[in-house]
This record gives sequence, C-alpha cells and structure tokens, in this order.
Amino acid sequence: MSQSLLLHNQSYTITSFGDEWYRIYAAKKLSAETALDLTTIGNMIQEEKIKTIQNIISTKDEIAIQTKDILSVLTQIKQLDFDHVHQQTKTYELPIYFSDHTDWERILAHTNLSKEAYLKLLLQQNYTIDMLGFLVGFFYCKKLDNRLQVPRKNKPATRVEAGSVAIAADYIGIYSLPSPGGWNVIGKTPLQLVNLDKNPPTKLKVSDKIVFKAIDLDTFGKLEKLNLDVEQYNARY
Amino acid sequence: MQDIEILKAGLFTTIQDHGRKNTAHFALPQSGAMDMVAAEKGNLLVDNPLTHPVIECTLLAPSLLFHKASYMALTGADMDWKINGSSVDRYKTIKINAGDILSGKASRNGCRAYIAIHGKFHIQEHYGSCATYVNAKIGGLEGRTFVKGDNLQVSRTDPPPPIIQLSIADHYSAIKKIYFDKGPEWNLLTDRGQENFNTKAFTLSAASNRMGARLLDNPIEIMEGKEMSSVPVFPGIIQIPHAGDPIVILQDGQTTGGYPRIGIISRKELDRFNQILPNTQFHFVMKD
Repeated sequence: MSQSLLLHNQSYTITSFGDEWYRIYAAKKLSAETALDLTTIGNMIQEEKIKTIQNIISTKDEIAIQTKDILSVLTQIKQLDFDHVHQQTKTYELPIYFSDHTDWERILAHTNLSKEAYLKLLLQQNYTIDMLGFLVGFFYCKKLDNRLQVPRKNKPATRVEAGSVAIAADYIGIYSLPSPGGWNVIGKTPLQLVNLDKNPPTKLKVSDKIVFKAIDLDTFGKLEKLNLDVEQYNARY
Repeated sequence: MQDIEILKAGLFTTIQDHGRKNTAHFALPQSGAMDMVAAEKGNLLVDNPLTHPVIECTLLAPSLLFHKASYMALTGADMDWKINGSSVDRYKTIKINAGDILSGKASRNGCRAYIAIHGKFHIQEHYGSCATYVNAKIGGLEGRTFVKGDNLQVSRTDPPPPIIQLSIADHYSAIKKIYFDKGPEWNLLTDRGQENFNTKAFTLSAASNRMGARLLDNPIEIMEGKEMSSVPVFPGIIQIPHAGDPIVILQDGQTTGGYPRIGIISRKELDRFNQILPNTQFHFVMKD
C-alpha cells in the first residue's frame, strides 16, 4: 500500500511497513521555511489520542504508526489543524561531569582536538531536543558543531551507564537508563531524567532547550546523592 | 500468602503478557511475550483471557513449588518438564495439587517456554501491562528476572477450567527459514550484500536477548555513504550496523535507530524467529 497525504500544503507519502505498521515521510525534500517538521506533526497526532493508533513513533524524517485501521487513522489526521501549531518550550540547564571515559581517545583522534578545545566548542552552544527515541529517556539534540562530530561505533558497546551524555554524527544524546549503545560517551549527568511511575515518564520534551554546564567530580557526587529531576535542579540552582 | 514459590530461577525467567500500547512515542518498548501464539495458547488452556500475564522461560527451565492447588499449562519450547519427577504433557491443562513441584531442564527444542496459571498474578501494571522490561526495571517481579526464593500470588477464579489438550504444532527444531519483507533501506545494500542476505545462512548469536538478536557468520555489505538520521524501528525490523552483522529488533528493543532498516519480519513470523536456539543456523527468505 502506498498513497499520498496533504498536510499543511506539503505532500507526504504513506506506505505499509510490515503487517501492522505504516510510514509517513515527505514525498519531496521539504523547504525549510514553510514545512512543519514530522516530529511536530507526529506529536500533534499523538496528543490527539486517536483510539485506532496502537503506537506512534515520530522522528524528523519519518513517522511510524502501528494500527489495524489505517483508513480511520488517516481520516482523523486530515481533520487536525496543522496551520495553527502552538508549542510551549522551556530552557533547562543540565549539569555534566565530563569524565575520562575511554571513548575520549576515539573522539580526540577523530576530531584532532584536545579535550579542552573540544569542550570549549561544545559548551559555547545551546542545544534543542530534537527527538525522544531509542529507549525511554533517551534525548536527541541535533546540530552538533561539525568540528566535534564522530561517527557511531562500528560495534555498539554492550553497556552504557545511566545518565551518560554521548555524541554520534551531528547528534548529542543522553542515556537516562543503562543500555547497550553505539554512541561515543563524553560525560555523565547526576540528574534523574526519567520516572517510570509517571505518565509521561520524562519532564524534558521535544523542542525544549538544553544548556550544558560542566561540573567537577565533587559536584557530581553531591548532586547524585540529591536525586533531583531536571525541574527540581533548575528551580534550585 | 505465597501461592507459588520459585525454587530455581532458570536462565532468564520473566512475567510477560501482550505488552504495552501507546508508549513508543516516549521510547518505551512494547515488551510482551517473545512467542505470542505460545503464550496465548497457554492462557487458552487454563481458561484465562489471552492477554493475561504468563511466565516466560528462556533456554533453561525454572523450578516452581505450588503451595496451593491450581491449574497450569506448558507451551512453547520443550524443556523436558516434570511434576514431582514424572514427565508431563505440554499443550494440555494440568491439575496441580498443593505441594507439587514443577521442574525442567535445558530446552531441547525451541528457545522460549511459557507457564500459564489459571487466574491472575498479583502484579503491578506499568502503562497498562505487567510485562517485565528489565532495562527500565518495570513490570513483573520488580522489573527483573526471577530469582530463587521469589513468590507469586495468584487470584482465584472460578469455575475451574475444562481439561483440554491441543496438538503440538510447534516443531521449532524445523525452523530453518525465516520469511521477511524488504525494508525501506534495502537498496542501501550492495548487490553482493543483497545476494548474500538472500542466499547464505546466518547463525543466531548467543549474545542475543529480548532487545535484539545478533546474527553472525554472514556479514552484509552496505554501500559507503553518509550517516543516516535516526528513524523509527520496532520489533521485527532487521538493521545492518556498519560492521555488517545484522541485528533484529525484538520485543524490548529501541524505538528509533540510525542503521539501515533493510528488512522486516512480520509479527507472526517473529514468534517463530524467537524460538530459534542460539548458535543454530537459518536462512532468510524474501516474501513475494
């Protein structure tokens, strides 16, 4: 199955993907000024809580929808008002201890920078949460300076610690839970970014802004004991 | 009051059910039984709703002591099950007396077995499901695998189930072919990569788990190119990391990924795939 869908004056293609999933993606490359990105469209669809959608995954280039009734889903999507999108975004400071993780060797060799020069370039920029994905509590921020970019590992590490901040290609990301992972680890946050007794389980949302703040090991230890989430930390510090 | 006591934990024994819905947008995987049909048949045999939680056993059987009379069914992999030392049938409703001990061995046919108990386990739901997801420590018994000394409580339901026997249609040792559909990035494989994927055998790595299956002995060549941006993935998707050994995303797998999605195994076929024993070989066959 493949058909087209017109949203906000842009044409998107819908194709089936396995036996119960569908992909929505731009039929042509979108012009940056006029187009709504697919993450925003996906979040609007998700917030509509369409009953026939079992799951929805939104990324910048593609939305995947799990449903047994794609026609009713499409009918309801077409009724949404994509011309009036309002999003409230927040800015959070995120403390990071830039550890001596073994991945630094790979990062410095690839970028030809000293660790000091790398961190200086990294910290002079703010980042926007681009996507939630991979695993619960994993935040993707795009637009990593191209001097700082390192590809994903050829073979993912079997375990990356909770709170790890890592880079891959033009992304910087945060692992809130321990997991295997193919990104290059640069540091660690002492904050608790995910609470699975709450729905939704994370305070950080797509489009929120992140300001990284370098902290030393001593501060990391103190903050870790306090068990703060990102709102509590930002209210206190 | 303890109803069922875990005497031996087995290798990776967890509570699973139909899994979670509407959690993928915040990157919480579906989880749930790796062989859904086998889990459903277990519930059917003990007259439970098909979505009820069951015990999923992986490769090595746990041992259970029943403190109360109950009804049970064993489905999925053949773990040489015994009650009080005497062999019992799989795919049959079994009456359990107080004091009975269920035991088994390493699986000789299939990878995952299910123990369904008449009634419902007392387990806290997270996002509408009791499915254990160990990475986030939710579902099942404190979000982890069984350990010796664990207890399970089961709510009684009346009336008792009828005694049923199903034919054992699941001959997992015969699984040599897994059918797949082409994925969106199939064309990122080189000609040789496509050919090898369709013709040469893969070995299921022992490093596989509920998140993903790693496939060895047939590295697949992808075209040199720039890094992909991260895109949606879900159970059944076959990815090729740069090193070439494919990874199949499974029930506890991530929801986005940046490796080419070269194929997809359908939901029902994934039940079969998840019964392949580690270190055994199989071929992928493209569906028409």
